[in-house]
Amino acid sequence: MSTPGRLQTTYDFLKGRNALLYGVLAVFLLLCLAIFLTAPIRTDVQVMLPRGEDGRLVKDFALLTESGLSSNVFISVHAKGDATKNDLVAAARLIEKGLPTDMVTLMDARSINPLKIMDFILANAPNLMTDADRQQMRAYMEPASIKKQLTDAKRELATPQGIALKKAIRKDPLGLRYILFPRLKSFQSLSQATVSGGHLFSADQRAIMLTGRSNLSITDAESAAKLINAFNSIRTKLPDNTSAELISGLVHTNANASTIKRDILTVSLVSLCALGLVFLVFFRTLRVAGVFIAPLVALAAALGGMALFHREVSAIVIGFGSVLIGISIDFSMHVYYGIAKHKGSPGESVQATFKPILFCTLTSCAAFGALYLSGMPGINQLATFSISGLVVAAIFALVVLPHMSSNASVVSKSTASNKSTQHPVGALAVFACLLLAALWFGSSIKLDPDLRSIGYVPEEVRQAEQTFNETWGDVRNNAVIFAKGDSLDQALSRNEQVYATIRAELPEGKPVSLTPLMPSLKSQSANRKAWQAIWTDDVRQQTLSDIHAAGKPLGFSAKAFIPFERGLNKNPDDITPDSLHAASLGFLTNLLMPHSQDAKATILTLIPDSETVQSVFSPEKEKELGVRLVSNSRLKHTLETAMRDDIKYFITVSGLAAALLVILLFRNVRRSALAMLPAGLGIAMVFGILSAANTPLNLFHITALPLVIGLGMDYGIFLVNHEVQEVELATLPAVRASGLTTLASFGILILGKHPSLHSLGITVVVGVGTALLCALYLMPHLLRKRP
Amino acid sequence: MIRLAVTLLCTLLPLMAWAQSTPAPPSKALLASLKAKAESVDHLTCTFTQEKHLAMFDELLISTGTFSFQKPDKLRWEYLEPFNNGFFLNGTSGREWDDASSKDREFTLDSSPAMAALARQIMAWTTFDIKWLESQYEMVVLQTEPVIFELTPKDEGARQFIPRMIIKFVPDGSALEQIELHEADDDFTRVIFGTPEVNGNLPATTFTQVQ
Repeated sequence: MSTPGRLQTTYDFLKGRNALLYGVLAVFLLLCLAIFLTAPIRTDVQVMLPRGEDGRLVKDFALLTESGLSSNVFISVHAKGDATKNDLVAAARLIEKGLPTDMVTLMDARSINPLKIMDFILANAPNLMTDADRQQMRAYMEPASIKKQLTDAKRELATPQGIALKKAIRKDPLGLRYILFPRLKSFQSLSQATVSGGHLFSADQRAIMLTGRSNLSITDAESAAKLINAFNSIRTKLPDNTSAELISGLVHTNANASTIKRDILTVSLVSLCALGLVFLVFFRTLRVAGVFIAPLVALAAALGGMALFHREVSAIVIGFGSVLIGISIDFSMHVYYGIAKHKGSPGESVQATFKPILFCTLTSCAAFGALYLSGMPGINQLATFSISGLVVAAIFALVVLPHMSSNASVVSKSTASNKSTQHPVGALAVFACLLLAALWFGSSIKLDPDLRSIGYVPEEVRQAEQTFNETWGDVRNNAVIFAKGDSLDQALSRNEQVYATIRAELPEGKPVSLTPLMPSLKSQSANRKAWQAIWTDDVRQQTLSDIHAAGKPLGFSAKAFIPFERGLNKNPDDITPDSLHAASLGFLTNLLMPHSQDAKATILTLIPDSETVQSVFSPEKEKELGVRLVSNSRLKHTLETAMRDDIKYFITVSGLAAALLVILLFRNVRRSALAMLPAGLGIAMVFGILSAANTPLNLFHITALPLVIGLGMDYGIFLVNHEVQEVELATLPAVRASGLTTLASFGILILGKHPSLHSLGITVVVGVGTALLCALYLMPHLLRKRP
Repeated sequence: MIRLAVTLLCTLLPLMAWAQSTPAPPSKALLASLKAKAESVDHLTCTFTQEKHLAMFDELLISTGTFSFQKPDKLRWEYLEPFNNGFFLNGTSGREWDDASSKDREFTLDSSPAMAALARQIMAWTTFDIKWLESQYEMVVLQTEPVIFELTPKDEGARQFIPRMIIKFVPDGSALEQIELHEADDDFTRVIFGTPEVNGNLPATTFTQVQ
């Protein structure tokens, strides 16, 4: 007995044994859900990152997360119109007092004390001065230089600024500060901010920046919403002539979560209405309920399958997969229409649909299976998810559904093909033109590898970030070089080598590095020794004598430079992170020395991202120095390469697999080519329309492509199969109802504001829509037996 | 009765004297009167003598120079002896120079916050910008004829450099006569203004050229 025969026997066996049938189904579904519930669920986006070479991209992303840069919170308070500095300060204080302290810890700019910083640098001159600095210092110790310095000092002391300079001059009559202080300039590239009255002011004094750290997880949408609500509540109390913007990853988390919630509500309502319309037009009977249960059964199986084959399951994959699994309705639709149309036993009808459904399942599985070639673990999970769902959906359609739909009925309508036969040449010409246009535009499709663009960014957030960057500088887009070490000194040494490399190979690099203020302990020790070798007792006495000799005629008292003399007699300890904290430079260690999860000492260097920086910090250089450069552009490049490879492999493999399967099914080149036409046209139109609309292809478009291929192949296989099948199965109405159901349920996602939902929606509308139009209006002209 | 009167007088007189000498915040009337007089000034020029009483010098550092102002936002502060240096501000940009170091550079208030802060101070005193002054300082009146204020910066950072300032007005209150900036270590700077010429002739190049 042939396989279809066995299906009919199965139908006959299960007929009247509903308890057994539904009992097994219920046990199976419960088992799937139980397996799913035991698997840990990941909510982070890392699962969608390509593994790359040695899993570098994932490691880079983990480094960025670990750096804590994403937990920084910035609040920019802006003056409007006639607002004074006092108005700005009042607004800033209102925000400082009002922000929930359990969510954000604001840095107190008052803790930055220029006097302490100045003292720290002068006191640590022995630790900090390099060979070049000491060379310069020797020149400063010459009597002529001392005389000039003291003359300048006297003149400076007479000016209004003299009050602020007095301490420095007493401690440093030689002017060593002119050698040491420029190292603070590197931190100016962090921001053009100036500290005044305990606040960080912008260069034009029209804005204040409050900075802080949030202890909220970047994925904690609920807490993010609470923080933003608290901030918005304070914002309403600000004076009219001031405004404030919150800049943080949490703003994006909140925007994405709330947008997705709104989208789901809108899409669900519109989708329900659309599905209701499909129901009213095509079915008008509750007997069709089994068809709509099919995706739910497939979803349960997909969840169980994914949990069974992968150690962890991704929430993102579940989200996308739940949409993609909509394809599973297709098989049930064909079975249902077959039963409704066929006058005999439902078992005979199921037999007749077995072969096309088998090959549709195989081609769809091939399309989704090609996703295993992706370098992105999330996409691999999606493949398992979809294949598990598809296989079970096919079994459900062939084994269970016939018992639910034994009295199936549909609303009789004249088929579209009847109308389309009137203009065969016109239809062919239109589709030929569409195909050519799609190929023309699609050949120049661009990719969007920016991870940030797959999230929703409201216009006001985009504007706020732009204003922030214009006011304070775009610090957040710096490349970050990670120097890790088993000990603090090892990390400091590596960080020092990074700094030396930048100074040597990127003179215009403008790095933000701790090295100028905290070299490695080895270097500090060496610097101290070299300092002591210069400042022998004789040299000290001679220099003090020279200072006295030069100062006396200028009116300086004998005690004027006692602080300098005391400083010479001191031998400073090593500079450590604690020293920097004590010198009111703790904000630098907070920024550049994050706590590492691997218990290693980690030091960051920030540098404006550029191709030159990336070429200097090549993999070889990184290995040599034991450091790693992570930058948005490098991440983008790696992602773009991975996406390009994915698309290439995906299209090739799924195309070849589909071709082989249809050739195996039909054993005829014409029929095979025709069966592939809807899917091919659908994919071409997706590429063509996105390219023409200047919309680069993102991760979500790519993940929706199997849906287009799978459904397109289904339409093609069923229609071509109609040529060879003996049993009448109402193929065209089934294709129409299936396509419209897909568009009504998933094409509606195009209404979503969130890029992920919108991208899925547009791919479904364009791809499945084109495949459906092709199936309904073009295929009938090309088939020898009209469906 | 006489004894009672004498007793009362003996008790009250020292209290009255104490009441008169205890520094108190300036009354609104006093501030308004000074503000009104400052508003009558459109432009002015005067000389100044600066005394620096610094422990690190055996001698008093004396400098002299000129100060000019024109509403709303032009000013010039120039040392003439013993060194020639200074700056002028014309709106939001200006120039500073120092003959000894051959420094001569243009600046804007946006690019030079230190200069902006200095100019803001001088401008506030010259125009007697009460709102701004009250926001920056705790003010008490040490004397009313002529008016002498003592000021303490509200900002802790500013207090580290100058914990106390003494401002003395000319008898009719129309201009400043003297400013003393007291530092934490007992050093202080005294600036004595002289020969003020209010709304007189001011060379057109005062706020545009170094001269």
